[in-house]
Amino acid sequence: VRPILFKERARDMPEQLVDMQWKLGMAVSSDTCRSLNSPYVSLLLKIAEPSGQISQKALEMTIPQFQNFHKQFKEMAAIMETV
Amino acid sequence: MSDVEATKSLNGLLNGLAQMVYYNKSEITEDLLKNELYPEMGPEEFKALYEKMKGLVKSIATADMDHAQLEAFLTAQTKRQGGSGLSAEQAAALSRFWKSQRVRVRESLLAQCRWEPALRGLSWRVDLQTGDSSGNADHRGPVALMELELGRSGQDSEFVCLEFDETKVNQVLKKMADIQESMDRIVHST
Repeated sequence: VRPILFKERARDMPEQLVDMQWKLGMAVSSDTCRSLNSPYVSLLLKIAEPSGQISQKALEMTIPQFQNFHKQFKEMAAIMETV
Repeated sequence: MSDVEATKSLNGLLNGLAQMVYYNKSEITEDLLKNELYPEMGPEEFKALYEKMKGLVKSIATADMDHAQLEAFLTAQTKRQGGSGLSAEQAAALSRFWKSQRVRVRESLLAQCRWEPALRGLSWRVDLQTGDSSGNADHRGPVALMELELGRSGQDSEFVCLEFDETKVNQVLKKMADIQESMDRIVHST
């Protein structure tokens, strides 16, 4: 079990994930770099605050970052099964 | 300035340019570079050198040149007449610079293109709920708390703390498996 570093900021009022949308994209070119060739995973999280208000959070990850995120989720699920 | 000193100063200038343009080091300025590296040079002469080198570095970075492209590009630059030409030593310095900095510059350019927040950090824990204050036993079961640290390049982090029961975790895992499957399909078709 990993050491948990929770800072005070949000842990008292955790929010619920209502929905998660995803997109797999490839950044091809930009004004500062003509040849990006960079795949990425884009997530749109729909989150319900304790008040009931729904907010959206978008985030972007590289492929290795997503794979690590996925791995952590699997570990978390495995622990939940044993608890 | 001797040849050795000129090379050292040019290396410093190129690295300084990378710090300013790609690595967000706001403490590095054109004036600082002049005072540190070319204190004896006239201001107009330095400005010309600075702009020339900056332009060349940007051209090389924007095209993300490989070894062959870089050599062709630098050779063409050395053949140019007049003030815009490049000496052989300068071309060599640019070549060394790009070989050592290419990966880091590219990562910086990629980060600049990411306009949505990135996942900077992640921590989680699993609690076991044993009931709530109303004596309701229905709420027993493992609960996962996950804290996501999100942030855009150069900006402070935002923290989002999410709570999941087992059902929700499995729903998310299913979506992640779909993402992984999509990625695998693309890799195999390219």
